[in-house]
Amino acid sequence: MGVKRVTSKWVLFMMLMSMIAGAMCLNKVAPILLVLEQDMNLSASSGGLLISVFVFAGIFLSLPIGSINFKTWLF
Amino acid sequence: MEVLISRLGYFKVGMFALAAIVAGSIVGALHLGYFVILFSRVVEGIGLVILSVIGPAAVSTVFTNKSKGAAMGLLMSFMNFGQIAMLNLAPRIAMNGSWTSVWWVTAVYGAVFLVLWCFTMGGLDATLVSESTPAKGTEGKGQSLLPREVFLNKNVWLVGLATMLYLIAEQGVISFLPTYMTEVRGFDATTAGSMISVAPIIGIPVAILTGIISDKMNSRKKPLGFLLLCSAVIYALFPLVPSEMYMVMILVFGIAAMGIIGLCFSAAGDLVAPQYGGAVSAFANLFQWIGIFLSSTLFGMFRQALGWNIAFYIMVPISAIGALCVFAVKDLK
Repeated sequence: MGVKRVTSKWVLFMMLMSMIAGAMCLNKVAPILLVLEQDMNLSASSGGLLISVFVFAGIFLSLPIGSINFKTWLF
Repeated sequence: MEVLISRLGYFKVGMFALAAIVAGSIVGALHLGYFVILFSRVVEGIGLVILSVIGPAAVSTVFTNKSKGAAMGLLMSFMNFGQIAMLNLAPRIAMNGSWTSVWWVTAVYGAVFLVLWCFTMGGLDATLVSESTPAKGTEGKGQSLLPREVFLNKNVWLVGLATMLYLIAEQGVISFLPTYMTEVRGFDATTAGSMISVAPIIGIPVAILTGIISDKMNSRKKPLGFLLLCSAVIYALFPLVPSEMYMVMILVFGIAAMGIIGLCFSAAGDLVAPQYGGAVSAFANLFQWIGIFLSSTLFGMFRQALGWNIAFYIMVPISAIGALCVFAVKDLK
């Protein structure tokens, strides 16, 4: 039995919606930072770290991930 | 990571990325303390970093050249959509419950698409294999992870630095603007969030238009340097303009700042031969993440140590130095 192919529009829809999930996570702290700082008794710099720590993994994964574009079997 | 994707395939890696977003959100929602929330944010971030690689790769594979530009343009607006959603939803959700409800909302949203992914994307890898056509002469050949043409290229470094400096200022300002408008300017949180969301909303057409204008001018350096200088002026104005002018300020901020990142990536791509496109994009990505990481950390520190006004004013030279980096790139048109 063959695997059912995914249409290009569905790939775009699912990728966009999934990436929006990540973007929502990245951006959920800033609009309620004041609430978080008050609730957890945080300093301004600790609040700032709560926003930016999200991308910490990106700093270490960017270069290895970039190699995918020209090294894997797919590209 | 490369090994992970090539061994597991896009379907499983995408599933893992969405699961990381859901798991990170749930752990954060449990409110087990500051450091646990920090850790949960890193887990969520791993999910987005993976998706931001496999998303464009998959979409550019399944769309033909004729419709690829529009599809990629829509896909790469994901950050704007996320900002718009959270700037409008998060304050309202937090106001009607606890801030943990915001984390539950992202967990549920992620879970919905994780389930959909599991049930509908099973054929993704087979689809990508059937659609992919390796570039002539590249079959079976690998390139260095760190090609000299990219990593020893002074001009690429300058554009990378400009990208980082731009993001330190832009992300620092947009991240703290809701707090500033609430705490200092007296707006309520929901109004502030909705007002600021105008910047990413306008950012979607602005990014497209900026690219078109840059193409027509046949120049990256001039529009990029000009917009960086414009945004530097805007950062200086934030503490100065009266509150009733803030809607206009945010609008101008969106126009000046939201088209810059696309130009940075295009400029980096212009500086190397096409076969190094992947490496230079990875390099620009690295500076992008460093810039975003430093943005809120630095702005938060400046705000705490020196106050709101000085924090805004410090963003001015940061953005201006970014412009100088761009103007110093010799090989950039």
